[in-house]
Amino acid sequence: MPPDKKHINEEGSLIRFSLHQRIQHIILLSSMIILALTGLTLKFHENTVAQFIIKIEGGIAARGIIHRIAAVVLMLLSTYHIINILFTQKGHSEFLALRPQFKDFSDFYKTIKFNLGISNEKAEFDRFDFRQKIQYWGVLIGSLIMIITGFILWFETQSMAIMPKWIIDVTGIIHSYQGFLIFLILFLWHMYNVHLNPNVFPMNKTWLTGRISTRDLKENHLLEYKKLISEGIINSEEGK
Amino acid sequence: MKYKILFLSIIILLFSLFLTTGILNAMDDETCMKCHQSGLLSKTLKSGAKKSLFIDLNSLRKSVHKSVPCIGCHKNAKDYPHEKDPGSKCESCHEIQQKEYSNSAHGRLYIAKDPDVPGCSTCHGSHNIISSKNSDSPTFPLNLIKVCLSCHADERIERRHKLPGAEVIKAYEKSVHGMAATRLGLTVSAICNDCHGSHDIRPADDPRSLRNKINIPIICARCHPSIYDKYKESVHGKAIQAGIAEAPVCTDCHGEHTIYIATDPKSRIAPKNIPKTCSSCHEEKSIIGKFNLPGRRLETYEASYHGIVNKYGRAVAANCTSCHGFHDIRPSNDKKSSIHPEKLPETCGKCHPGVTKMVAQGKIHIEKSSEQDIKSTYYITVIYSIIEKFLSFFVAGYIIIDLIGRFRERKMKKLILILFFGILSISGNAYSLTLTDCLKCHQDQKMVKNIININEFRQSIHKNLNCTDCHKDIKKIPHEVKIENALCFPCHDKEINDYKTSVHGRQYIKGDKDVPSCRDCHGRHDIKKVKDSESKVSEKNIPKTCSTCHESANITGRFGLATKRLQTYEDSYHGIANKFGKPVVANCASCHGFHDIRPSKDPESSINPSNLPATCGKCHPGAGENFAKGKIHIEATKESAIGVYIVRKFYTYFIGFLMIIFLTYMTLDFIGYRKRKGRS
Repeated sequence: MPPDKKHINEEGSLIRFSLHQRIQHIILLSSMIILALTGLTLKFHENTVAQFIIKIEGGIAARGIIHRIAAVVLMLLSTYHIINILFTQKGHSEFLALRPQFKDFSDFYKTIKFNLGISNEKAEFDRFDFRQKIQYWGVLIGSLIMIITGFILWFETQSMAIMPKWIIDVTGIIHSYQGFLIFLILFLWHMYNVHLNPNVFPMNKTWLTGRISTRDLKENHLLEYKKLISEGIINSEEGK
Repeated sequence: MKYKILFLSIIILLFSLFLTTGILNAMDDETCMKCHQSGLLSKTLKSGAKKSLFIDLNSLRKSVHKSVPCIGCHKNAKDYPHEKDPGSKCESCHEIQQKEYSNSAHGRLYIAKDPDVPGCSTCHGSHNIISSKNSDSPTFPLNLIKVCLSCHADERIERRHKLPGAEVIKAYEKSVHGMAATRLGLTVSAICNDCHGSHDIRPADDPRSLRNKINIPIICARCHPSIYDKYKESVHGKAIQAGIAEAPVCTDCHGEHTIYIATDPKSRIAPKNIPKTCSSCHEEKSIIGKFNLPGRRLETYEASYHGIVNKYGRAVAANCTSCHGFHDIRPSNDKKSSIHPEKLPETCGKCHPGVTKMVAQGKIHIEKSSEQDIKSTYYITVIYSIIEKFLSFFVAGYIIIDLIGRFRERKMKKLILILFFGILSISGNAYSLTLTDCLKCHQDQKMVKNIININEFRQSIHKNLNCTDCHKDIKKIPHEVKIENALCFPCHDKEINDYKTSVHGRQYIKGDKDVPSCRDCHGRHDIKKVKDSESKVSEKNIPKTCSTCHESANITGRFGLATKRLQTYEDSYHGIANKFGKPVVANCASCHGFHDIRPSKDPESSINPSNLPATCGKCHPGAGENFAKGKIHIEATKESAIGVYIVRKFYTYFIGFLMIIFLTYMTLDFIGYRKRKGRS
């Protein structure tokens, strides 16, 4: 849903993340960090750093409890998120804006060509560019897999009663690798895009303020910018 | 005549009376005590110590032998006064024990007159022997430990007879048996003689000896019969009964003198230690091969959740014994086995109640990398590791390209290049060979000659490095058989530069293999910190390390080096003090330098006469130039150190001369004394 006029303040920035979305994001990131710290230490249990972290967490038993608490938080959040995108208009329109399109692949191709200096044509992005879509879908699908496999492993006794052991073994392997994949997406891809990228370094503040300046909007989301101008929500002078 | 006969018969009567009473009465106990109650009677032992021959009548009267007369034991003491050592003979009454003893490890040596071994009295006492049921007796179970330890805690005896050592034997006192006996006073606990025997302690080569593995379960079974019943039906027990010596007996898992209760973290059968204990055989390639056992049991266990959690000390996690049992371990095809597929629901159900037969559909020890074993886990692992690699390359590649684009926008071409090659080199290293890859071959004697001692490496200072960090020219497996030396250069460039200018380095560059390179002094995979006393270049070990070449006749001859460097150093105060571990004393490197060793002719050498005041001045500040006037390694030949040579020669002859004078004088004086005495 495009923002209306009241979202724009005097400094020429407009709201991109509502408070409600920012709270979701903070809950998500804290649960993800805790899950990564408690989960990956188990995957890499032979590593000295991992052993040290397990010690800080209060031993191998406490590690499991913390992991499950964070997992419950993530599950509640995921449920809430799915209800939100299914049943609220804003959530649903944002979700639709995130759906993968053919344009994303051509955008990716264009971006690579531009970055390598092969062409001077920059890709034009709508509300969400392909980088953000990879993050969203990677984490969404990854989390769903993690939640399902996590449940099987959490209630391993009950699981073993109804399914062969090899399924549980496979589940364990999936949980371990999938967790690492989410870690890669979040800590390489996402960290780079919102922190280490020279354009936003040290940090893209949108996750705290919820705002994006019209200049950034024009640079990174040109199609949305144009749409907002044509709808008369922002002036063409803004963003210069 | 009549009187004469009477007189003669009286004399004969008296004489025979005297004779009989002489035999009967001369050596009754009272007669013995006439002398042996006197505190003055003593004899001199071989060692020179005096031993009183006083006999304590009170303790004798309490002893089990109170009704036995003295000559009952001391059969040789027939006359009075009797020969010096009448000896005591126990075997005339204790025939069985004597027979056992004379065949025992102690007895054989005793017959060979070894002074270290115990005779009867060493353990039982002499005149004060009381029943072993009496708690004051030295052979009372709780006291016997001390009696045995009085010899076996003596390091000298242990070493002389190649016994395991005092520490090993003393460990018994802290074991579960030792604690029960000494702390709680439980006489039913196993004391030394319960396992080792008492009179019949067997020598190692005897088939009935405790050292003979097959006997051990039977010995333990004396107190633990129900456990033995289970054990003898187990795969290990059956093997032992069939005479297969590799199979474990009680002590292989529980220890011998070090048996602890299973909940004690020191115990070999504590949950945390069990995987290690079982692996001492089940990871041993010769045993696995001989009995066709499945390999990689420890590795797969340690990779499982049970293994990880157990390693962190959570005793609730399953260890080897939780599934396989302990005394009654059976192979999985045995229907009574706890890991027989039909029994698995019950076995797993101990911790996971309600599991069904489906748990048997799948492996427990999952070898992820083996295709034949478990297809499902193998393929999922392969798929995920491909995705993982693809994604990390994709993300890393995208980031690099994106950074190039961002800098292109800002026209920072140099930064692009730096960044590009920087990231390329980092990502190149990240996917190099790991230690485990290398060890796949370098731990297997069949595959390569060069076996890496991984334990040494793990204790070395480079334990956190990867193989390829030093062996940079190895990029893939298999690599060429001949590889270049490990390159120390990238990290230790300062040291290498010093070395290149040294007498060793210059020769090494010429391709001479007789001079030392880094690894000859520092070691290879086992390099330790210099301060570590085990390091080859620690203060104490340096003389030894240098001497491997400098005391070798081949090398000193070839290069015309000065000889006897070690001997002269060790004779000096520096050498002696260093040998006894005094840390602030000069060793080879203190004067000669280490990486930058140069010959003394070189004006830059630390041992060039012009530099000696500074070199010696490091420890003896203000030493001044006088230090250069004289040799350091004092060999005292005429040519090298004329001063020391003359003084030493002078004193040698002078002392010899003086000795001759003294001896002559004393001899003459002695002769004179005899003469003077004779005259008076």
